[in-house]
Amino acid sequence: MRAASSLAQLELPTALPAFSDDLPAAVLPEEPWLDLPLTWIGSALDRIALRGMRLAFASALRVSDAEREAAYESGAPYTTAALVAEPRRFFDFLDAPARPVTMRELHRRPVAGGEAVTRELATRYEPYHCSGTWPACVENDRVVVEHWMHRDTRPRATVMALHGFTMGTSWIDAHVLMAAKWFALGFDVALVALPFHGPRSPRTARYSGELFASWDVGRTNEAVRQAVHDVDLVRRWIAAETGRPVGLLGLSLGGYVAALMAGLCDDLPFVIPLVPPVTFDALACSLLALDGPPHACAPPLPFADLRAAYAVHSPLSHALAIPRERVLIVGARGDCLVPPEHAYALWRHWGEPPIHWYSGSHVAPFRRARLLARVAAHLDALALD
Amino acid sequence: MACPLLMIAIMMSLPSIHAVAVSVGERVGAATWSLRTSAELVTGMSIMAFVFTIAQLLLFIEELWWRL
Repeated sequence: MRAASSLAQLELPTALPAFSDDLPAAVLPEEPWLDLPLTWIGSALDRIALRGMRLAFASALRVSDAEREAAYESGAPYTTAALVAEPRRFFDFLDAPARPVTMRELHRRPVAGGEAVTRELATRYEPYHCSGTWPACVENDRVVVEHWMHRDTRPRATVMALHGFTMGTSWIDAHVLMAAKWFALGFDVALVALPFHGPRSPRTARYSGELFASWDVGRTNEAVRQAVHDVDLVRRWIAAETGRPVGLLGLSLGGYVAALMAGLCDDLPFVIPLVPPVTFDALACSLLALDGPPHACAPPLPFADLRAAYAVHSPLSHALAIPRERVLIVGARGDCLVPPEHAYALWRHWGEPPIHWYSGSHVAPFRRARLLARVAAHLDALALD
Repeated sequence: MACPLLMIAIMMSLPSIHAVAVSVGERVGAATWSLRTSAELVTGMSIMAFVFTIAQLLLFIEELWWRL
């Protein structure tokens, strides 16, 4: 056994506290020597991607004094005593009776063994706290789903695949989330566009997800809440249509949403978070605030306040609502974007459910055949058929 | 395989091109971003796209390697 050293590779500025103080140091199983170079190469690619990310977003997200003040105020509604005591109240819509869903079919194309149907479902998401920063965005008022459906056979279940931050283009998501592999194993696959991503981005957005993650704490919290709302809307709709179980598989940001829902919905048949972050504040600081002076992008709130404001939707704030056997956490040994401490903390928080560590990193998941076999074995053991 | 990789590279570049277009549009209208911020955004996203493409290429080579 060895302690992961990925945090040491990140150049955390002294002005910000290292989140390693809060998350336990990850203890990973020994890695076969043959795979060590793969993790090394993956880490190198991650570090270059991290440089690009800092360059892309550090200046763009630099806050003015006015924005800093607004950010401070926007976080207040999410740190009330009631929410701190019972964070599930933030997702009160999950306990409300299901409302009728308006669905429209947009496109249909054949895939081997079935067809991929692109649909849009109208979302009637209402923010928890109505503020002036929640954007009126027509594109975001519908949930776009590419639904891979078997033609002649009954699916074993449906895998709802949730993409990562800045993704949301269905054919790229399908490739990265290995939709064809799950489909070949007998599962229907639903590729869901998260709020403000892909086809749900406003036309003025410079990149997919621009309005999802920003220093506007209130808007980010509402975007996460809407992600949960929309994923729940789609999974209920698919479950009703197919009569088969609907589980979640999420990558990175999608993994965060999947892990969060594992703490909110006790009827999920399986949840598989891939390289999931567990605290938004630590993630934001590590991704965006590492570019040293003069381009440093200081957070708008003190670190502790930022953590408190995001806590309402952290998977670590919610106990696991489903049996541990239904969960499979997947972490990357050499991940520099979402360091292994995140997956490890989630594993500890959930009482050490099944976990798989792959060789490689966030952008380069090597040994995918092993990962696929591990996930397939996990799903087989659940006897979903 | 080269063709899908090229397509991925082009598709991954689209957000950057889009970012340029939006930023230029803003500068023609009421500019809120500096050219430097726009340039940094485009360069940073291009780096990410490049890394993603290289990663996909390596994953493809790895898959071939284990099959041989």
